Amino acid sequence: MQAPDPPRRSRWRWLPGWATIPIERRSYRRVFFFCSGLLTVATLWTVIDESLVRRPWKNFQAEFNRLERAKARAELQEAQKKFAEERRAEVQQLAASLRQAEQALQGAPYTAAVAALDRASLELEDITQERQFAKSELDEAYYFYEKALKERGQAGARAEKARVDRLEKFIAALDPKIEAATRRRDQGKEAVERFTKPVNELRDKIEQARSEIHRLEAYLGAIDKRQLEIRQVVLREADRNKFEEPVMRVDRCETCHLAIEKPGFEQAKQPFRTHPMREALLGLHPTNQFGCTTCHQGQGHALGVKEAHGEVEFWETPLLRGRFVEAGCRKCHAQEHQLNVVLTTTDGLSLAQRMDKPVKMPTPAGDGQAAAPKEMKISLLPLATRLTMGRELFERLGCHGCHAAKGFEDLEKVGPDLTRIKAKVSPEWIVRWLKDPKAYLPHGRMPNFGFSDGEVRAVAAYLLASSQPWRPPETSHGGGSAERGKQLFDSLGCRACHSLREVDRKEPERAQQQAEREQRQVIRRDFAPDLSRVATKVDPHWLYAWIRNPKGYNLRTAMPNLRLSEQEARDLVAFLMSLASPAAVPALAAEPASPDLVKQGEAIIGKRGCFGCHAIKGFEKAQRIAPELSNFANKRLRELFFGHAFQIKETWLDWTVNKLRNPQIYATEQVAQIMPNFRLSDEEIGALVLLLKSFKDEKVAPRLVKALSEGEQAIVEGRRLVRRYNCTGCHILEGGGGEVLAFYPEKAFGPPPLHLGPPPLLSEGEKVQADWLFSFLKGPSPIRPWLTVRMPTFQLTDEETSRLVQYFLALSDMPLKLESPESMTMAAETKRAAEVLVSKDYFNCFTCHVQGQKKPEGPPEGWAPDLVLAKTRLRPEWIARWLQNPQLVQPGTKMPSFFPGGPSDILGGNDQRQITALTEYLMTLPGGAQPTAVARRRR
Amino acid sequence: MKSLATFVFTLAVAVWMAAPAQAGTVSGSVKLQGSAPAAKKLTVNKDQQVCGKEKTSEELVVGAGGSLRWAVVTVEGAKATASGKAVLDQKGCVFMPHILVAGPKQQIDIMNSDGILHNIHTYSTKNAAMNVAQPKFKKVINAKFDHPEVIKVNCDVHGWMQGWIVVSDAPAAVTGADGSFSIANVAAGKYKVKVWHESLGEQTKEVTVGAGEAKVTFELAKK
Repeated sequence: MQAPDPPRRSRWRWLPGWATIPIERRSYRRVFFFCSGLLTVATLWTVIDESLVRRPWKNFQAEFNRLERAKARAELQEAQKKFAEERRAEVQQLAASLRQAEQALQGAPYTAAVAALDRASLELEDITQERQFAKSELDEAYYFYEKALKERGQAGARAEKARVDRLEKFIAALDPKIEAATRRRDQGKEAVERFTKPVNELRDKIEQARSEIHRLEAYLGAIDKRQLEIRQVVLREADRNKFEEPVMRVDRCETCHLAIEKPGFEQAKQPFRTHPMREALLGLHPTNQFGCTTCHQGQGHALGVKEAHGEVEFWETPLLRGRFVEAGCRKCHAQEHQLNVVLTTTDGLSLAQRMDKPVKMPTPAGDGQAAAPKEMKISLLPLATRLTMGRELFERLGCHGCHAAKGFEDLEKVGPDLTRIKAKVSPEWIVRWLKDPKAYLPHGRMPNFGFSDGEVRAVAAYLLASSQPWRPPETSHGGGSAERGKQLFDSLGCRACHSLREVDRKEPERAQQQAEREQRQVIRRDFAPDLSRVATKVDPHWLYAWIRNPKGYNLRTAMPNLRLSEQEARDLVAFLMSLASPAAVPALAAEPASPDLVKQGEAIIGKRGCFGCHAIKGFEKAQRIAPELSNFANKRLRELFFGHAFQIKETWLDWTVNKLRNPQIYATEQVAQIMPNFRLSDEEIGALVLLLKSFKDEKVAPRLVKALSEGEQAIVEGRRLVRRYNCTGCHILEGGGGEVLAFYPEKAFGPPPLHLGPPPLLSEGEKVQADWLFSFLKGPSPIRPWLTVRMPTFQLTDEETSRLVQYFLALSDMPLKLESPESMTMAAETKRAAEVLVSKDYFNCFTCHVQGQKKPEGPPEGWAPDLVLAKTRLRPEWIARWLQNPQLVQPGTKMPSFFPGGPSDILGGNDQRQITALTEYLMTLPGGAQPTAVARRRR
Repeated sequence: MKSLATFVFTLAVAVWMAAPAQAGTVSGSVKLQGSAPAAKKLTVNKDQQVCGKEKTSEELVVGAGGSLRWAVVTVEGAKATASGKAVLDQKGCVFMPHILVAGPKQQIDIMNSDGILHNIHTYSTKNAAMNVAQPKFKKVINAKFDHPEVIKVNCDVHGWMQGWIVVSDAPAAVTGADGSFSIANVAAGKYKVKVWHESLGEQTKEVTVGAGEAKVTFELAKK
């Protein structure tokens, strides 16, 4: 008995029983079956994954095709319904006529005509062929004739010559036959066409009526045939890398965003929505040139939803969502402060509606007036308004004083000059002001530095100690009437820049007007200080000198000279000083400033950067104290210091928003934060964050960067001056502004108040002569004697003035030239006609218009501008346009329209001739001042 | 057959005759609550030989017992039957009438009896605004307003000239010197009757119109 083998460690121990099966009887079919099953599953899975799971865009495309098909079907049904309702009867009638016409094709006359045509065609064909054969024969005969002539001479070739002659004669005889046969054939054709033409025409008409239906059917067919495919835009050069080499960009966004360029999907859900303001935005930035990610950012070549939007780790430029997309504008439009689009359209209103923007159009007038022209220009529809607001705030708040930022380099300091402060304000006021600026000016822009009492005293001590002496002119400021001063303040236009909120609180009507004025402002920050408590701040003697000549105290001030008389200035001083009593605050005065205190003050000013906004003696050459922001949007999280503010989410956006809301939030015992608190509203923070998001050091392909034309450049520079001098505080310009108009209410309800407040500057460049505008801006003279509001003298430099003139010219699409029109002459006959036209029994122009020294009857508020000024002030083309229809040029004007419907007994009753005569008359009307020397000097 | 035609004809005539019997008249008066202020005088400062020296403002005209002139009463929801032309004249530098009631799209002839330059400047929001000169040679201007609206009219040449054109698609009447008004041919039913006065504002009352006269009286207070 042999001992059994010790149990072998079998390879197949995991397959029980397998080892016991003899090797030749083992079956692998289960294994094969299992593996092939696995392979099939894997293959299927691969196919599914490849075609569907990894291609989410296919689902989107299929869904969009369904959506588009449904839309097209609905349109088709609509078209069919419309067809049934409107055209069925017509088509049925056409079909009946068609049947009748077709019946004629069955009749004997038609058959006869066809047979006749066939016969005639056959005949013509036969004769033509006969002629062709004869012609070939002639060619051959002529060859033999020439051969014979060469070989045998003239005599020997007689027989051949005879053959040639015979054939030529034969052909000549055929020609009239061919003509006759052709005529017969044409007649036959005509006869047949007489039957077929109406049939064809009717068929065409029926097709025409169904054309819309056919178009939609073809469209539906095209949708059905559509392949699911990746759609991409390839930009050979979208950016430049660090080595100035072009970088390619592939945007596949339209693979899913299928309706971006298709109108009609404005209300569809994403990703199938039409691009907002498609016509305007994509018209200016066609996708085949700009792509999508150039403006929107994201990962253009990716095809997954998250990946494409760039909202994945390590992708540095995620999609700019919501209004942050406006940050994308600045990389190509860095030069322009505000963006807008000029639209020309034939149906202005419907375009405006499509763009969801209210655009005020001049109302077409009723009877007796020309209808509005078909082509309407909606000029300057503002775009990227939050970005504009951000830029405006950045400039207005003086951020550039401490932070360098590309595009904000050459800007004025925003605060007043402090080098002569001692003559202007009381030391007590400085202390109170520095401690809490918002307590004195709640709507001002001076931020709160969070100074301690000691710091405040030190800064004040330095400012007073460094202040230069300034002696106002020796005129007494006393003896004014506060009551008259109030009237002046309300009527001269002071309120265009300054407000009096505390005073207004006692007068609900004024407070209401003030609220209305603030409604008109883009930036809810006062351009100039509220004067409610100015009496507690300034020295009356200084105030008097200041309002009479602001540049006398501060050369760089934006405050204009209102050409106040001594009495007016005294009245205003009396009024302003009566508003509050100088509250004595025991603070600095008692304590004599020690040299130590002054030194301490100097250090604080240097550290907190007061000189960024104010001119301060001793800090003329100081450098900006805060970090540069030109590449702020690209700051990494590790570059942002969160301090102990653990409650704040660690993102760029959260850091920035909270920093702006409370600059001290990231301060720790170790790291001080020196940025002051601007008490920004949420709206302001939103605008500034958007602007900061656009601060990016990017190299864009030069072809994409907006190149400004000469006119656009003039507009950009003009707008800068408009902001600097707050022209929109008074005037309506480029569709906005006119803030002060809130204080000049029109008693009647209806169109905008025009004749009591400052005039709106609508198409000013087209209206006035550039030369005149130049001299007017240099030294304004009253044009509308009834206005109490006064155009101040801004003491502009010649350069600033020509920039403004060019700005107005560019806004009106005029050539940028400071030229006067040529002087006009007038035929005696036209002159007589014009004199009759302006006379009392006709248009009676001078019943309202001033003519030099001759004033109209009645009170000045009923008057209209001096017509003697026209020849130096207005452009003749504009006068003609104005006379044609004043309401179209300036909606709401008091000037009535006289045309069409001029008198029939003057100049043959021809309106155009009358308008020309009046224009020439005005351009030659004698009297008035000659153009001033300033105007001739020009630049 | 003939008898049936006669019957139908008779029935039609009967219905036609019966229809006016179902319409009534809304009438009544408008009064000012409280004491009447002295009439405002307007100084005439130009064209005095045509316009005279002084005008009385028609902004608030109060007669005996507080009766209020120049108030517009409208039966809202009823059908207006206005037709023909309305006429607005300028005579002695005053709009005549001070308030003109017209239907939408009704033709309005604007006359100038003065023979000096006037201009028709309307202030409206629903209708197209117009500002048309009417010199001596232009005797008539045709105007038409498509939409119901209270439109202020003034003449910029003569600042004191002010009038109103009330475009209404419902029957409307202006109160006379005695403050009374009467609107005839209002189909029977329940209506809101509205009074509007240029300086006193609006008031609405409900009225049921049957055959005969429905009386409404309004009292407007100074604001």
